[in-house]
Amino acid sequence: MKIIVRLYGVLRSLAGDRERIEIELDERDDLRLIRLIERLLEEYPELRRYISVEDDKLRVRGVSIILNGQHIMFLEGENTLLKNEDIIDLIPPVSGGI
Amino acid sequence: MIFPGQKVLRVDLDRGSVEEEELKDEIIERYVGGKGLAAYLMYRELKQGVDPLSPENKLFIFGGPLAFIYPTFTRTIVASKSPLTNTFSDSNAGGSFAVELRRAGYLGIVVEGASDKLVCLKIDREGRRLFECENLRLRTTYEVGEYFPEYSVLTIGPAGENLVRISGVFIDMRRKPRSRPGVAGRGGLGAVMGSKKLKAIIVRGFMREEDLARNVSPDLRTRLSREYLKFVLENVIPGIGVGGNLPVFRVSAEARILPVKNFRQGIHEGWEQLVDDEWAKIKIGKLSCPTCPVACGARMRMDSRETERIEYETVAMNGSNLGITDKRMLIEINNELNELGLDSISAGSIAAFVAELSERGLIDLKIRWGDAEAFMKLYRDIAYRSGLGDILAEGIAHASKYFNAEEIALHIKGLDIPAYDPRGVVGMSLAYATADRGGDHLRAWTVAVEVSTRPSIEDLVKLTINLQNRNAALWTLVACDNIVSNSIKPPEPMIEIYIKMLNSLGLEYDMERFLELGERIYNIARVFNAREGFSRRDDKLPPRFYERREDTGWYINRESFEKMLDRYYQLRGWSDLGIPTPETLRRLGIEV
Repeated sequence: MKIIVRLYGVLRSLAGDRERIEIELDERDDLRLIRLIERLLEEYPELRRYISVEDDKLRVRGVSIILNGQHIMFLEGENTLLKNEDIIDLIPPVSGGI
Repeated sequence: MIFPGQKVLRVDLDRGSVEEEELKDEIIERYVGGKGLAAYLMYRELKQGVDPLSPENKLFIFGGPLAFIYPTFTRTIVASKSPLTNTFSDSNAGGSFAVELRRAGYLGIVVEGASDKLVCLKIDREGRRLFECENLRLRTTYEVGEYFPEYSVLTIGPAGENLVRISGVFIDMRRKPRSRPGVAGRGGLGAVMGSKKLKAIIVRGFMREEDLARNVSPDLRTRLSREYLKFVLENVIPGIGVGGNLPVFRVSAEARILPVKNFRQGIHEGWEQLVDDEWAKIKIGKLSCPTCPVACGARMRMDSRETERIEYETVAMNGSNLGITDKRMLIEINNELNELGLDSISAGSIAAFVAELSERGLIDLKIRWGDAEAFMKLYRDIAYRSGLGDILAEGIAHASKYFNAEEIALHIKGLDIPAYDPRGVVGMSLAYATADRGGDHLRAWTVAVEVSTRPSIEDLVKLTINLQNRNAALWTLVACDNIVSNSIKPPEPMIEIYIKMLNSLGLEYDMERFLELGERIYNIARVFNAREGFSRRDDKLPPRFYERREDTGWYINRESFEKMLDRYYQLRGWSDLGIPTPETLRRLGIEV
């Protein structure tokens, strides 16, 4: 199955200026969001400046993670199960003013 | 008396009197200054249900105890029951007013009653007196500032005099200012001043630093000032960039959270024209508040158009939100809003609301996105209550009911939403909904946290509460948002220095007590609002934020939002209806 990750702002720069990344998952894999994020971080380690995985928990520095339009904290957080064609938006922190 | 100048001026415009009143030590110990004193006095002195534009409402104008003794504490809190929201409302502004007021020996001014004629209040070495100033009627904020060149001038424009509920209070407005002007824009507090027929307060202080700091060890004062300025130079000034918080425009655009066409999208064509680098090309100077090295005020000129200071919120709410990408026109709009004395956030919001009504054919007026001249005319109509402007001058909540279009009005408790779409930065939804003055981003600006958190309701709620408490405490000093929020490193070491500064005056705070001070103030504002009838049903988002956004599909799930609110109330020690429980009030020492 295919998951689409859309990146914005500084996060896009840290992922080689890629606006959209497609990640293939095997349906027999662990389909929790956290595994996908780990895959993403392995491929684009610079993203660890803003997103990390510690003790099977996601940690973010001001980053919003949106799955199909909804913030993941309103779903099952890092344990949210993914399905084919899901769209994940990674929105960077909005620093630099008020 | 804990420190010199522990006094307020009480101005009774019914009687025409101006009297000094000493603030008791126990009140200073519990509320310190700025927002703390304003909230405490407002809760004690205003009767439930008072009409915000009646003589019975009061206007509270406060600086903080650190002003002039230590660098950068220049901000002035203006507070009252808001005619726009009917809630507690405070707005703070830069400029030299708080410093001059402190140098005149006062922490604040409480204005009550209403005058028959237009008056100004003058405070200087010769004393303080009210004088008639009919010659300033309907004068712009700049004209008033320039009329009193030797004073710090806190004034309203025509909009405030005309009781426009989105009018602000303006400080040191001059075309060629020597120091940075300031705007306490939000909540319609200019109309409160207008209802009292008080056009301006002008002040020139005379006390020397050593008079105000006579209880403070000079060595300690020097050491703390140096330590603080070192932090500011190393960590804040690098974050200021071109100034005016304009660097945030690019980040907001890239994150797709700009307000575009009444918050229907998060980015627009031509946004690149409005980023900080583009503003840097036309920047002709910078301005600082007195005693501050940061110089965040960005003066701009393009062709023959010039403005002394422009900010992100003005650019986003009147540029992106209205389809305007021409910087020259934004400079003109900025000047127009300042002259009239309007809040640029609420003005941009209400203009976008009107443009959408027009687009949908719900009003006769034809106003196109991007038509800067038409929007400026609309602003003049609002300020002078002309035609449609008379309805809009009552604020967006009123106008949206009038046009039966509440589903496209972007406000919380009547206060227009500022320039960050919470569907992308969901944390702001809780911050907006629980802000003490209505839809506001400054109580808890959760979008730029430097600390690592879990993307969970629990962590977000704790972060929001912590920031709300922290900022309420900082606004007792009155510390500057631009400094704390622009620090490229977590600001806690700086706040530790603030606490030492406070203690050097004779108070006894540590971080825990300081945050509890903020919690006390936040709860006082909440019980004020509860007394006015506000509760959980008012802590809600505008309908548009529960809908999928046109461009990205982002939305906030209503049930999830309510769940987050439940947890917020629990951790705050408030009931399910959002009212502070008796135990919470007892713990914080708040008498009701």
